[in-house]
Amino acid sequence: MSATVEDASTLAIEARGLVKTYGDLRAVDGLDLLVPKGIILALLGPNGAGKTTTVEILEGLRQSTSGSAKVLGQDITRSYEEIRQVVGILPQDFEPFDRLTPREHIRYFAGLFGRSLGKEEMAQILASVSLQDRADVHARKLSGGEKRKLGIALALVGNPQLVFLDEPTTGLDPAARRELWRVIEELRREGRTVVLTTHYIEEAEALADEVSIMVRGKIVASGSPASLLDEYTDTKDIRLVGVGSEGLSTLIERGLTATSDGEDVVIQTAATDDLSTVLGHISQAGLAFRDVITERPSLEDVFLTIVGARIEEGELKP
Amino acid sequence: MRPSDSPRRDSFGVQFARRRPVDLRVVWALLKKEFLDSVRNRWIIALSAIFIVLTLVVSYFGAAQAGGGTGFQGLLETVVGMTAIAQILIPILGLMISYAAVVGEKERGSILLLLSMPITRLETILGKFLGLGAVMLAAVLSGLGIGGIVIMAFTGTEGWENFIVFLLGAVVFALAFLSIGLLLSSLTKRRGIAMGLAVFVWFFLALLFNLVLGGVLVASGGSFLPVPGEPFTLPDWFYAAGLFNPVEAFSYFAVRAFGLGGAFGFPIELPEFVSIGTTGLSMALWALVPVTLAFWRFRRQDL
Repeated sequence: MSATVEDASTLAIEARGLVKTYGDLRAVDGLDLLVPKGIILALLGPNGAGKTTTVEILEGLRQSTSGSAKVLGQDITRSYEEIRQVVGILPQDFEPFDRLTPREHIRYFAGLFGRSLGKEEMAQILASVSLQDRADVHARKLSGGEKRKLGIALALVGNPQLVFLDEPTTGLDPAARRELWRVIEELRREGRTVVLTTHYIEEAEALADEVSIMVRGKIVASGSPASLLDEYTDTKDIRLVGVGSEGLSTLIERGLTATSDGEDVVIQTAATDDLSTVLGHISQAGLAFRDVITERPSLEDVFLTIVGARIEEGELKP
Repeated sequence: MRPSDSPRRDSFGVQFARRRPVDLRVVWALLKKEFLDSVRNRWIIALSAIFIVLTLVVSYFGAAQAGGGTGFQGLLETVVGMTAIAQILIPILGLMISYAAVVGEKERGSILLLLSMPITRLETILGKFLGLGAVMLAAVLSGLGIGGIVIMAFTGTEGWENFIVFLLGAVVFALAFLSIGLLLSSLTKRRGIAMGLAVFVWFFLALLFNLVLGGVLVASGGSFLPVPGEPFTLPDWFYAAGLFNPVEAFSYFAVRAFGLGGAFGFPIELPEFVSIGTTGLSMALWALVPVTLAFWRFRRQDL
């Protein structure tokens, strides 16, 4: 569970015991998820972990085999129509219509809400995803990043309180990905809740207030990036830049756990170690080095600790 | 999480939706989008242009073939040639415009976004049918209508009422193939398969059907050779079978609409039951039944 707060009025999503089976396959396997309002939750996991199935259940687009879920306080099975009005969705692999412009797309989707957008509101939506300069270009001429931004704009047309973004940056180049992160952060600043599925660990680390790690249909760990690091990593690395191989043997002789990394030496310390003692050893060794860098573990290390594998290109690698 | 009216446990979206009246604003939004998207399709523009040009060419050179010298021939005779063109091109246009309407959106992922909006699947199909129908209406009216107006400008307005009836029939004929295309689109999981099926349907209804019927006719001792001095006719069952094919129904409709005694170079005497009413009904059923089945299928579909 990603939230300790269980007051329904503060929760955007409250799912309990969700199960989704396809024959013998349990795509979602007894999932509990509590998401407070106003945060970005990253559902992090490799391809096939059940992330998309989970969000599709929460969006009301797919029916679970068992379990229950409330979105913005409403049961997704009983209040489907009401939820539709306050939830925005960017599906995985969304592609806009080639022969329509972003402005026409937005006007069309507003029409599906029975709304007619004024000039100002249209300009505001276009500006919120930085597409104002590309508003009248046919969608087939947009870049991959611009198409995703348009998808987010369409998810925002109904002015939703909760936005689901399913793998929004998959396949984008790093620059386009960072630009999209900025747009997603803006959603949080506007007070919306964002549920983001991703297999990019750095994306979850950069954006999310809460991360739920999902593997084989189950959430195996949840919490803020900082709390996950505290809970699942017990080392901190100290890198001595340019100390050379002689420095490595000196440090090992002094009882420190250290490894060589090119011209650098990396000293591993346990979370329980007194850092001043370690620094004292380094000082007494009288080594010459250009810099000292303290390296905190990353979410990638957390993932490795919990799952025993890394994610590369969306796939689990031992 | 298992609502009692759920048609299928895993179907997307609609399973939780309560029944509600059709929201015309939503249908209008869908209609406009489908229209805009299609009229910017260069293939649709090209086919409509070919349709107009062929209509004019047929009317102009038809007179030469009839031995009356080159020039615009009378409207009533010209319509035979126009019908032949419409029989081939309208089904292609109708199928081309609609075969990807549902399956294309499934492939691009936009159908999920669409169904995540507060709209129903009935509104979705209705909006698509009406939007694409408006495109077909524009194509048919510009193809046949402009051709007809130009011809009348040269030959006089005799028979204009018949021409209006013919145009109405052509619109229903066009909607029939739009409807068939939507059904194929909702039945298939891939755009390529929908296109393959559309080609097969066109080939069967526009070309193969008559060959098969002809084969049956010859095998049962009948003949296509006219008896000198007598109006050409075929057994009633031949025409009855034709009523089940929208292409044949449209051909008979045109003959009846213009009160023609013959078509395609020889006189034809159609049986009484092949009337404006029965041929019109046949085409209307083709326009309504497939799209109804498309909705029925789409409503139960896991996307």
